[in-house]
Amino acid sequence: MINVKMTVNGKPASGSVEGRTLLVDFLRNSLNLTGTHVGCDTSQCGACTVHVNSKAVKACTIFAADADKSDIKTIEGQANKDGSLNFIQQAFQDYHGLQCGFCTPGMVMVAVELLKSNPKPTEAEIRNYLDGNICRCTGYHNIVKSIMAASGQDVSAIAA
Amino acid sequence: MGLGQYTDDISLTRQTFAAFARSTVANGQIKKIDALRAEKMPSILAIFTGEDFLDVVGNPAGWLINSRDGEPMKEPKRPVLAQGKVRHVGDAFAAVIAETEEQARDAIDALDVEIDKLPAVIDMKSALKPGNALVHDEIETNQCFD
Ligand code: FES
Ligand code: FES
Repeated sequence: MINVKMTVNGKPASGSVEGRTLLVDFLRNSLNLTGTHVGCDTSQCGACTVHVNSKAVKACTIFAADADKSDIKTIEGQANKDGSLNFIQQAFQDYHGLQCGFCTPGMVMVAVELLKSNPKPTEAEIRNYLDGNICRCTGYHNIVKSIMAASGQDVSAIAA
Repeated sequence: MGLGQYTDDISLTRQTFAAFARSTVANGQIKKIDALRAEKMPSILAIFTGEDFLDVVGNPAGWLINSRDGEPMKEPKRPVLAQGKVRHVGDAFAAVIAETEEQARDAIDALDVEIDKLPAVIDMKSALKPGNALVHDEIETNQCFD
Protein backbone atom coordinates (compact mmCIF):
# COMPACT_ATOMS: atom_id res chain seq x y z
CA MET A 1 0.00 0.00 0.00
CA ILE A 2 1.10 3.55 -0.71
CA ASN A 3 0.36 6.56 1.48
CA VAL A 4 -0.91 9.58 -0.40
CA LYS A 5 -1.58 13.15 0.67
CA MET A 6 -3.34 15.75 -1.40
CA THR A 7 -5.41 18.89 -1.10
CA VAL A 8 -8.99 18.26 -2.16
CA ASN A 9 -11.27 21.25 -2.51
CA GLY A 10 -8.93 23.26 -0.32
CA LYS A 11 -8.78 20.71 2.51
CA PRO A 12 -6.00 18.24 3.29
CA ALA A 13 -6.86 14.62 2.46
CA SER A 14 -4.83 11.48 2.89
CA GLY A 15 -5.18 7.75 2.65
CA SER A 16 -3.43 4.57 1.75
CA VAL A 17 -3.98 3.11 -1.71
CA GLU A 18 -2.97 0.19 -3.87
CA GLY A 19 -0.65 0.96 -6.77
CA ARG A 20 -3.52 0.34 -9.18
CA THR A 21 -6.08 2.52 -7.38
CA LEU A 22 -7.35 5.19 -9.76
CA LEU A 23 -7.73 8.76 -8.59
CA VAL A 24 -11.47 8.56 -9.27
CA ASP A 25 -11.83 5.52 -7.00
CA PHE A 26 -9.81 7.19 -4.25
CA LEU A 27 -12.07 10.25 -4.40
CA ARG A 28 -15.27 8.21 -4.51
CA ASN A 29 -14.47 5.31 -2.19
CA SER A 30 -11.93 6.65 0.28
CA LEU A 31 -13.02 10.30 0.50
CA ASN A 32 -16.69 9.58 -0.19
CA LEU A 33 -16.81 12.35 -2.80
CA THR A 34 -19.28 10.57 -5.06
CA GLY A 35 -20.10 13.63 -7.15
CA THR A 36 -17.30 12.61 -9.52
CA HIS A 37 -18.83 9.84 -11.60
CA VAL A 38 -17.57 6.78 -13.44
CA GLY A 39 -19.45 6.53 -16.71
CA CYS A 40 -17.26 4.11 -18.66
CA ASP A 41 -14.23 1.89 -18.34
CA THR A 42 -12.53 3.12 -21.48
CA SER A 43 -11.64 6.75 -20.55
CA GLN A 44 -14.13 8.04 -23.10
CA CYS A 45 -16.99 9.65 -21.20
CA GLY A 46 -15.44 12.44 -19.12
CA ALA A 47 -17.97 12.02 -16.27
CA CYS A 48 -14.96 11.63 -13.96
CA THR A 49 -13.36 14.98 -14.85
CA VAL A 50 -11.70 16.84 -11.93
CA HIS A 51 -9.02 19.49 -11.80
CA VAL A 52 -5.49 18.41 -10.95
CA ASN A 53 -3.28 21.43 -10.30
CA SER A 54 -5.83 23.61 -12.15
CA LYS A 55 -5.99 21.37 -15.24
CA ALA A 56 -9.08 19.36 -16.18
CA VAL A 57 -8.13 15.68 -16.03
CA LYS A 58 -10.16 12.48 -16.38
CA ALA A 59 -9.73 11.04 -12.92
CA CYS A 60 -9.97 7.50 -14.29
CA THR A 61 -6.80 8.05 -16.30
CA ILE A 62 -4.40 8.63 -13.42
CA PHE A 63 -3.45 6.62 -10.38
CA ALA A 64 -4.18 8.05 -6.97
CA ALA A 65 -0.50 7.56 -6.15
CA ASP A 66 0.46 9.79 -9.08
CA ALA A 67 -1.78 12.53 -7.70
CA ASP A 68 0.22 12.57 -4.46
CA LYS A 69 0.86 16.16 -3.28
CA SER A 70 -1.49 17.55 -5.94
CA ASP A 71 -4.16 20.18 -5.61
CA ILE A 72 -7.47 18.54 -6.59
CA LYS A 73 -10.79 20.22 -7.22
CA THR A 74 -14.00 18.26 -7.67
CA ILE A 75 -17.62 19.17 -8.29
CA GLU A 76 -18.17 19.21 -4.51
CA GLY A 77 -15.92 22.27 -4.33
CA GLN A 78 -17.60 24.27 -7.09
CA ALA A 79 -20.47 25.97 -5.26
CA ASN A 80 -20.08 29.56 -4.04
CA LYS A 81 -18.91 30.15 -0.47
CA ASP A 82 -22.51 30.67 0.68
CA GLY A 83 -23.49 27.27 -0.75
CA SER A 84 -25.34 28.65 -3.78
CA LEU A 85 -24.59 27.30 -7.25
CA ASN A 86 -21.66 28.92 -9.05
CA PHE A 87 -22.46 30.82 -12.25
CA ILE A 88 -21.84 27.83 -14.51
CA GLN A 89 -23.92 25.45 -12.39
CA GLN A 90 -26.66 28.07 -12.23
CA ALA A 91 -26.63 28.39 -16.02
CA PHE A 92 -26.97 24.59 -16.35
CA GLN A 93 -30.03 24.82 -14.12
CA ASP A 94 -31.50 27.85 -15.93
CA TYR A 95 -30.98 26.46 -19.45
CA HIS A 96 -31.89 22.83 -18.75
CA GLY A 97 -28.29 21.77 -19.33
CA LEU A 98 -28.89 18.39 -17.70
CA GLN A 99 -31.37 15.57 -17.93
CA CYS A 100 -30.35 12.66 -15.71
CA GLY A 101 -27.38 14.69 -14.49
CA PHE A 102 -24.88 11.86 -14.59
CA CYS A 103 -22.48 13.54 -17.02
CA THR A 104 -23.00 17.00 -15.51
CA PRO A 105 -20.15 17.05 -12.96
CA GLY A 106 -17.69 16.37 -15.78
CA MET A 107 -19.32 18.91 -18.08
CA VAL A 108 -19.16 21.58 -15.37
CA MET A 109 -15.52 20.87 -14.53
CA VAL A 110 -14.55 21.15 -18.20
CA ALA A 111 -16.62 24.32 -18.62
CA VAL A 112 -14.91 25.89 -15.61
CA GLU A 113 -11.53 25.24 -17.19
CA LEU A 114 -12.64 26.53 -20.60
CA LEU A 115 -14.09 29.80 -19.30
CA LYS A 116 -10.95 30.47 -17.28
CA SER A 117 -8.77 30.53 -20.39
CA ASN A 118 -11.42 31.69 -22.85
CA PRO A 119 -14.13 33.75 -21.12
CA LYS A 120 -16.24 34.23 -24.27
CA PRO A 121 -15.93 31.06 -26.35
CA THR A 122 -17.82 30.63 -29.62
CA GLU A 123 -20.31 27.80 -29.99
CA ALA A 124 -17.77 25.88 -32.10
CA GLU A 125 -15.06 26.37 -29.47
CA ILE A 126 -17.36 25.03 -26.76
CA ARG A 127 -18.31 21.98 -28.81
CA ASN A 128 -14.67 21.33 -29.58
CA TYR A 129 -13.70 21.65 -25.90
CA LEU A 130 -16.40 19.16 -24.88
CA ASP A 131 -14.95 16.58 -27.26
CA GLY A 132 -13.96 14.27 -24.39
CA ASN A 133 -17.32 14.41 -22.61
CA ILE A 134 -20.23 12.20 -23.52
CA CYS A 135 -23.82 12.83 -22.47
CA ARG A 136 -25.74 9.57 -22.62
CA CYS A 137 -28.98 11.57 -22.59
CA THR A 138 -27.58 13.41 -25.66
CA GLY A 139 -28.51 16.82 -24.27
CA TYR A 140 -25.66 18.57 -26.05
CA HIS A 141 -27.52 21.60 -27.38
CA ASN A 142 -28.56 22.72 -23.93
CA ILE A 143 -25.15 21.98 -22.45
CA VAL A 144 -23.55 24.25 -25.04
CA LYS A 145 -26.29 26.81 -24.47
CA SER A 146 -25.69 26.76 -20.71
CA ILE A 147 -21.98 27.37 -21.13
CA MET A 148 -22.59 30.20 -23.60
CA ALA A 149 -25.10 31.75 -21.21
CA ALA A 150 -22.68 31.38 -18.30
CA SER A 151 -20.16 33.39 -20.30
CA GLY A 152 -22.72 36.16 -20.67
CA GLN A 153 -23.45 35.62 -24.35
CA ASP A 154 -26.73 35.68 -26.25
CA VAL A 155 -28.03 32.15 -26.68
CA SER A 156 -31.22 32.84 -28.61
CA ALA A 157 -29.69 31.57 -31.87
CA ILE A 158 -28.70 28.15 -30.49
CA ALA A 159 -31.06 25.31 -31.38
CA ALA A 160 -33.12 23.90 -28.53
CA MET B 1 -22.84 20.11 -4.93
CA GLY B 2 -22.35 16.60 -6.31
CA LEU B 3 -24.77 15.26 -3.71
CA GLY B 4 -26.98 13.27 -6.08
CA GLN B 5 -27.43 9.61 -5.20
CA TYR B 6 -26.93 7.40 -8.23
CA THR B 7 -26.85 3.62 -7.83
CA ASP B 8 -23.06 3.55 -7.88
CA ASP B 9 -22.96 6.16 -5.09
CA ILE B 10 -24.79 3.93 -2.61
CA SER B 11 -22.55 2.26 -0.08
CA LEU B 12 -23.93 -0.35 2.31
CA THR B 13 -22.33 -2.54 4.94
CA ARG B 14 -21.30 -5.89 3.50
CA GLN B 15 -22.08 -4.66 0.00
CA THR B 16 -20.77 -6.94 -2.75
CA PHE B 17 -19.50 -6.08 -6.22
CA ALA B 18 -19.94 -7.47 -9.72
CA ALA B 19 -17.38 -7.39 -12.51
CA PHE B 20 -17.95 -8.55 -16.08
CA ALA B 21 -15.78 -10.32 -18.64
CA ARG B 22 -16.34 -8.72 -22.03
CA SER B 23 -15.60 -9.75 -25.58
CA THR B 24 -12.68 -8.16 -27.38
CA VAL B 25 -13.92 -9.40 -30.76
CA ALA B 26 -16.97 -8.34 -32.77
CA ASN B 27 -18.11 -11.90 -33.48
CA GLY B 28 -16.86 -15.08 -31.89
CA GLN B 29 -17.66 -18.62 -30.88
CA ILE B 30 -17.20 -19.27 -27.15
CA LYS B 31 -15.11 -22.43 -26.86
CA LYS B 32 -14.24 -22.45 -23.21
CA ILE B 33 -14.86 -20.44 -20.04
CA ASP B 34 -13.02 -22.23 -17.24
CA ALA B 35 -13.55 -20.68 -13.81
CA LEU B 36 -11.62 -23.27 -11.80
CA ARG B 37 -8.79 -20.94 -10.81
CA ALA B 38 -11.04 -17.88 -10.39
CA GLU B 39 -13.41 -19.75 -8.05
CA LYS B 40 -10.62 -20.43 -5.59
CA MET B 41 -9.57 -16.81 -5.26
CA PRO B 42 -10.28 -14.94 -2.01
CA SER B 43 -13.74 -13.48 -1.39
CA ILE B 44 -15.31 -14.77 -4.61
CA LEU B 45 -18.99 -15.37 -3.93
CA ALA B 46 -20.32 -16.44 -7.32
CA ILE B 47 -19.34 -16.76 -10.95
CA PHE B 48 -21.93 -16.81 -13.74
CA THR B 49 -21.80 -17.48 -17.45
CA GLY B 50 -24.52 -17.56 -20.10
CA GLU B 51 -25.06 -21.26 -19.36
CA ASP B 52 -26.53 -20.32 -15.98
CA PHE B 53 -29.31 -18.37 -17.67
CA LEU B 54 -30.47 -20.80 -20.35
CA ASP B 55 -33.97 -20.82 -18.81
CA VAL B 56 -34.13 -17.06 -18.42
CA VAL B 57 -35.64 -14.97 -21.19
CA GLY B 58 -33.34 -12.39 -22.76
CA ASN B 59 -33.42 -8.62 -22.37
CA PRO B 60 -36.67 -7.63 -24.05
CA ALA B 61 -36.83 -4.81 -26.61
CA GLY B 62 -38.72 -1.96 -24.99
CA TRP B 63 -40.34 -0.81 -28.18
CA LEU B 64 -41.63 -3.22 -30.79
CA ILE B 65 -41.92 -1.93 -34.35
CA ASN B 66 -43.77 -3.44 -37.29
CA SER B 67 -42.45 -3.52 -40.84
CA ARG B 68 -44.35 -1.55 -43.48
CA ASP B 69 -46.24 -4.69 -44.48
CA GLY B 70 -47.42 -5.17 -40.89
CA GLU B 71 -45.02 -8.02 -40.12
CA PRO B 72 -43.70 -7.65 -36.52
CA MET B 73 -40.00 -6.85 -36.18
CA LYS B 74 -37.59 -9.72 -35.58
CA GLU B 75 -36.73 -9.89 -31.92
CA PRO B 76 -33.60 -11.86 -31.06
CA LYS B 77 -33.18 -13.41 -27.63
CA ARG B 78 -30.45 -11.06 -26.33
CA PRO B 79 -29.33 -13.21 -23.36
CA VAL B 80 -28.22 -11.43 -20.18
CA LEU B 81 -24.78 -13.06 -20.59
CA ALA B 82 -23.61 -14.33 -23.99
CA GLN B 83 -24.54 -17.93 -24.77
CA GLY B 84 -22.45 -19.79 -27.34
CA LYS B 85 -21.46 -16.66 -29.23
CA VAL B 86 -20.28 -13.15 -28.46
CA ARG B 87 -21.89 -10.63 -30.79
CA HIS B 88 -20.06 -7.34 -30.30
CA VAL B 89 -16.93 -5.92 -28.70
CA GLY B 90 -17.90 -5.48 -25.07
CA ASP B 91 -20.52 -8.27 -25.07
CA ALA B 92 -20.48 -9.63 -21.51
CA PHE B 93 -19.96 -13.40 -21.29
CA ALA B 94 -19.20 -13.92 -17.59
CA ALA B 95 -19.84 -12.14 -14.29
CA VAL B 96 -18.10 -12.44 -10.93
CA ILE B 97 -19.55 -11.38 -7.58
CA ALA B 98 -16.96 -10.66 -4.87
CA GLU B 99 -16.56 -8.82 -1.61
CA THR B 100 -14.55 -6.04 -3.24
CA GLU B 101 -14.46 -4.60 -6.72
CA GLU B 102 -10.74 -5.37 -7.06
CA GLN B 103 -11.20 -9.03 -6.15
CA ALA B 104 -14.05 -9.30 -8.64
CA ARG B 105 -11.85 -7.85 -11.37
CA ASP B 106 -8.91 -10.08 -10.45
CA ALA B 107 -11.15 -13.14 -10.76
CA ILE B 108 -12.32 -11.98 -14.18
CA ASP B 109 -8.67 -11.80 -15.24
CA ALA B 110 -8.13 -15.32 -13.90
CA LEU B 111 -10.85 -16.88 -16.08
CA ASP B 112 -9.43 -19.26 -18.65
CA VAL B 113 -11.22 -18.20 -21.82
CA GLU B 114 -11.08 -19.36 -25.41
CA ILE B 115 -13.11 -17.51 -28.00
CA ASP B 116 -12.71 -18.28 -31.71
CA LYS B 117 -12.86 -15.15 -33.78
CA LEU B 118 -15.45 -15.25 -36.58
CA PRO B 119 -15.89 -12.91 -39.55
CA ALA B 120 -17.82 -9.79 -38.60
CA VAL B 121 -19.70 -6.99 -40.33
CA ILE B 122 -19.05 -3.46 -39.16
CA ASP B 123 -21.23 -1.30 -41.38
CA MET B 124 -24.92 -1.32 -42.18
CA LYS B 125 -24.61 -1.90 -45.92
CA SER B 126 -22.45 -4.98 -45.69
CA ALA B 127 -24.62 -6.21 -42.82
CA LEU B 128 -27.50 -6.51 -45.29
CA LYS B 129 -25.53 -8.38 -47.99
CA PRO B 130 -26.66 -12.01 -48.14
CA GLY B 131 -23.95 -14.41 -47.09
CA ASN B 132 -22.21 -11.98 -44.74
CA ALA B 133 -21.91 -12.72 -41.02
CA LEU B 134 -25.15 -12.79 -39.06
CA VAL B 135 -25.43 -11.20 -35.65
CA HIS B 136 -28.16 -13.62 -34.61
CA ASP B 137 -28.00 -16.85 -36.62
CA GLU B 138 -31.50 -17.92 -35.67
CA ILE B 139 -32.99 -14.81 -37.26
CA GLU B 140 -31.33 -15.55 -40.61
CA THR B 141 -30.94 -11.87 -41.55
CA ASN B 142 -29.42 -8.74 -40.03
CA GLN B 143 -32.51 -6.73 -40.89
CA CYS B 144 -34.76 -6.15 -37.91
CA PHE B 145 -37.66 -4.56 -39.78
CA ASP B 146 -38.30 -2.90 -43.13
S1 FES C 1 -15.06 7.31 -16.23
FE1 FES C 1 -13.36 8.47 -16.80
S2 FES C 1 -13.72 8.89 -18.88
FE2 FES C 1 -15.41 7.65 -18.35
S1 FES D 1 -27.64 14.44 -18.61
FE1 FES D 1 -27.80 12.31 -18.63
S2 FES D 1 -25.85 11.75 -19.31
FE2 FES D 1 -25.86 13.83 -19.65
